Amino acid sequence: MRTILVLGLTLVLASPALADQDTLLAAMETELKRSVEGLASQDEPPYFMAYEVVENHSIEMHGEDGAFGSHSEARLRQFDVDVRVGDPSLDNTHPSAEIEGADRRRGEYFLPIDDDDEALRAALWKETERRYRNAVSRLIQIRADRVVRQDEEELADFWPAEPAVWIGERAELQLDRAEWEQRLRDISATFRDSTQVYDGSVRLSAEAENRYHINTDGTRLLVPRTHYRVSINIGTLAPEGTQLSLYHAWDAAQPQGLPSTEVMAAKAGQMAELLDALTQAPAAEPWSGPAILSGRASAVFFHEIFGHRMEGHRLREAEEGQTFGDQVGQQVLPPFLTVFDDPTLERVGDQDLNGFYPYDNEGVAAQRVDLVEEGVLKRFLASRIPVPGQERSNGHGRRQVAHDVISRQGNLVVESSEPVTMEQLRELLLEEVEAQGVPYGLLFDDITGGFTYTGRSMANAFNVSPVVVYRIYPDGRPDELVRGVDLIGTPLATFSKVVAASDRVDVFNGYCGAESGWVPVSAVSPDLLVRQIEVQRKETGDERPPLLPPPGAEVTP
Amino acid sequence: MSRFFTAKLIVVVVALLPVLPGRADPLLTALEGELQRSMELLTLPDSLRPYYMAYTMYDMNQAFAQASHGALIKSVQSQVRPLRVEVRVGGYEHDNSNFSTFGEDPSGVGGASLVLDNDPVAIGRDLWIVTDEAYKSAVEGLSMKAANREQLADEERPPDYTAAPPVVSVDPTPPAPVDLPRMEQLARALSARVRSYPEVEHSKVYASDASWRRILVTSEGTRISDSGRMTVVRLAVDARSSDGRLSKDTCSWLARSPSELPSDEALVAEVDAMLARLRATAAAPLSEDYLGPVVFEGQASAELFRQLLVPQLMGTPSEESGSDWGMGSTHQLARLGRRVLPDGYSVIDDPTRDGAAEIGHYLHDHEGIPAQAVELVQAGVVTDLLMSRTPRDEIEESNGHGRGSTASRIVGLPGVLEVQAGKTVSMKKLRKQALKMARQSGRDHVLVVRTLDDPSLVAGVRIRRIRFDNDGGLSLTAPLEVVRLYADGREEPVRDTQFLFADHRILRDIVATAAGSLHHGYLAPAVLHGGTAWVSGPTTGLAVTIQAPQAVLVSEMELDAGPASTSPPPLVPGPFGALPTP
Repeated sequence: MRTILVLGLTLVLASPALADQDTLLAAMETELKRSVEGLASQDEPPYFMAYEVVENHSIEMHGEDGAFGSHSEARLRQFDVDVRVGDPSLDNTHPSAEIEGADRRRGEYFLPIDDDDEALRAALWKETERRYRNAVSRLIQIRADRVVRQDEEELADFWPAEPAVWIGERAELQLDRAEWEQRLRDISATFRDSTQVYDGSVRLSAEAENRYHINTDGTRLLVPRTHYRVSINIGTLAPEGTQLSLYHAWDAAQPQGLPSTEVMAAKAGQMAELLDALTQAPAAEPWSGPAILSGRASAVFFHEIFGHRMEGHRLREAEEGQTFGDQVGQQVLPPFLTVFDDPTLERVGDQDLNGFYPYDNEGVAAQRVDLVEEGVLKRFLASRIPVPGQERSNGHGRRQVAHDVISRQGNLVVESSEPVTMEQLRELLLEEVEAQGVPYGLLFDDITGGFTYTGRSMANAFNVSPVVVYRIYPDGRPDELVRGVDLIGTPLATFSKVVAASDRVDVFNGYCGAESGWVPVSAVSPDLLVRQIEVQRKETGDERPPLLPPPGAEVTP
Repeated sequence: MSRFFTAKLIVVVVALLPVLPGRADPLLTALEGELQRSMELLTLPDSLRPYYMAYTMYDMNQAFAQASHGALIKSVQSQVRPLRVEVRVGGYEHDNSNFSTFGEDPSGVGGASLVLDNDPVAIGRDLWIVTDEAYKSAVEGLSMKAANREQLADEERPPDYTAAPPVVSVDPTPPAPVDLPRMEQLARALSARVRSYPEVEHSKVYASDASWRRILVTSEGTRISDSGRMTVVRLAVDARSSDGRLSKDTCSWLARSPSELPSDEALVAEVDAMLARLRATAAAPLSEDYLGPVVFEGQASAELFRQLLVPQLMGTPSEESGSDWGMGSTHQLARLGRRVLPDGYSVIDDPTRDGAAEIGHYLHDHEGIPAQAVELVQAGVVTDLLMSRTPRDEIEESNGHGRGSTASRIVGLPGVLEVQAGKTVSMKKLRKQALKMARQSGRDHVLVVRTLDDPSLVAGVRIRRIRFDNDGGLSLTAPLEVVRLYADGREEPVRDTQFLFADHRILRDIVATAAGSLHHGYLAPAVLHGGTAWVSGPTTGLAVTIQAPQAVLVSEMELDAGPASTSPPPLVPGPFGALPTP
């Protein structure tokens, strides 16, 4: 993947003057120091504490049918206090199926948005008290529990990490409201006269985030992030009553990184045409056979099916399926595939990556982690929660505010050492079609997302929902659009059936939800040919389309 | 009852501002156009056309600020255009309404958010889809209701809806701009007062300014456009006592605009007085069991009537329930002829009263019916009820009290309610009588309750589901400010009390009423389909004013210490000022 630009991370030491001006950072530091000193005389003093504050300024606007629809703007500061008591070999965070975890949501997690030292410190102090008591109480339970149970394996609870100091330049939102009102009108005007698009909206979400992180190791960070997304969401009802929708989004770190109004309006037009075609398209039948997953579809596929099983903390939890638990050093993918996760990648080509971050939510510098080299599993994504076979965090400890950190993906990248052209990939597909004696192969062109179960209590399976699927026939017929499929299967079986990859890569930018909340992620992959894929019929609806044509359209008696 | 008024047209107010020829009101025009098209053309095979439709939209500006400990926690400004569409199929006698069932929405009521541009095409498209859905829900609801009736014994039922003469009253005034900086400043300034009270554990100040223009168009020809504004400032604080229990208190102000709030000095003085009282309460001895007379003064007197009387006056019958999940006997309490208060008492509700203190004022209700003064209670007995256009057995017509939100049912609610006692005594005499009664039950003091917890701020939770038939609680909320009054005039604060077995019947045990009255404004939650009411936030709801006696004496009530919610004293002292040591 030659197109990838690697961001060289430079650790800039904080200028003392800048930090002194920052009331929030100063309040955090004062209060952390005071808490550590104040709690030192307790029977169980904390051996580690961290404060993390996420300051967010967001604007949401939308347009529909050529009109400006809504505007809202909000500023928030939310925060987390992490307290560890005991010692790194056994502390209050030790996993236990019997003992409830810390209930963060009962705490207060909004912090003043004013730079008011007294109010900031009062809020930090109260939550620190609550979290500390909670930590001690849980440690007592953990210790009592260990007297009566035997641990399967003795893994420590916390890895050390190098202190990191970096004060980034604060992120600010840059948005011309009037300009965007007009752009949203212009882009959404495509749907104004449509008799087929019942719901068509264009949404702009802009956010500037400044994440402050300090801990008792000496880490001191201000990590900025800006994100701008324009998304188009259109929906209709097929004649027999199935709801159909299409979604497309552009993501960029700066507003200039978004396409022009003309480009987005053109895309809106194409989407409206495609939606119209989908209403006419036949519904897919349950089918099993060869398929090409486009880059975006492959990216989501890998994120759901492979990436989540690379999250190291899952290896220590008894209720987890641990699909790849004992397969380090073994062939888990075809030898031409390499997979890594690299949050330090800012972009691929000219596409900004949503999963970019320089430091994780434990203050550890993000690192590229080579998960699979030439098909062989090498290692897992890790936070500071120890994982068998590894020694320290590789900068993947992530969370949404008010959640506990676990290891998560950032930018998951799939690469092929034997790329073929798209034409060759289609030929290979048709060869498979003939070899398997099936009437056609499938091309999964676009996908909205998916989900997967990694636990033991349910079938260890996945389900991703492609929205645009074509049948590719061997007899030279044009590709045929079909609708309404769910891609299903079990992960290990599917990976062994990846037979080829194209020479073009595509990016899926999104948000991933898991135990530690929603975090921004990207997945990057070439188009993949899979020898055998199984699809099931999607649920269909029975809603009646609108009884009247849209107002202004010709009235049918 | 006369149910058909088609010939009559009541024009109440016409165009307060000049509408230039050729410059039609684009919002009104868009709503009228789609309403007319839908009435004419909406139909399903073998199904009925709508016999009634209404659109209500609000063009609304909102500013909201929240502060704690003198600093802003949240600041939000928005412009929204919520829409309510109501479609009825069948006929006035029997239609799809007044029926709910679990998991389905048979109401024929839908909601949407209209675009902010005055663009008739885009607004029309918004209306088109939501109207289509509401019509289908109404058709489905009518058949579900019919199916449900098959399982019930035949009984005489009131009609489902009452026809009303069209009302035209169009004031095109756009919504006033709202003042976010002022809300931020107020929230900061009032919450900063807690800084000198280290025992205060949580403090929240909410300041909200909302203004709107409402447009209502119905298929009966009603066209109403009016505007309104409401400014709400509320404070909720709690303080930790040395034994770890929390005591709380609240203050609220509701006004028709920020300029009608009391002056900053007055607001600050009230907050300071409340904080001083809270400090005294938190330091006071824990309450002991009490059985004896209780005096309700000021806010507590008004809240007593709000919480225990108002639900007995809301006349709209509850929905028929199509599932076992029904919310029960919502309106069993409201009954004509029932004694609800002592003999001399009368109650009227008159939303047309208009003054700075009457924030519940309106001229047309949410169904477009002109507001009317209603004599609800005479000589302590219910003589009339607050009615929407949904009839009940004894009362078929609306009296202009139909109120709701864009997502709710429209039911009979008060606007400006006045509770009057036939015979009053001076405050001094009332207290004397209370002390005398206390002595008779062997006590040297009487409990005086001055503040009751506000049902819409209970626990400080933002979104809660409460039973409609409670309108915030038919059991009384906890008393926040309570003192023991001794014969020599001495007052001692009491901490952490709650009422036992206090329901609406205690209103009949009022034995004395003080002369003079106070106006108390509150926010009533709208009643949703299915019978619950949402308190959607500390500053939202339907504004109601209660004019209540300054004080009342209830002959006997039982109180004890509330359940303990304690936490140990802090391990590390607060960053500013030491907390009281245990």
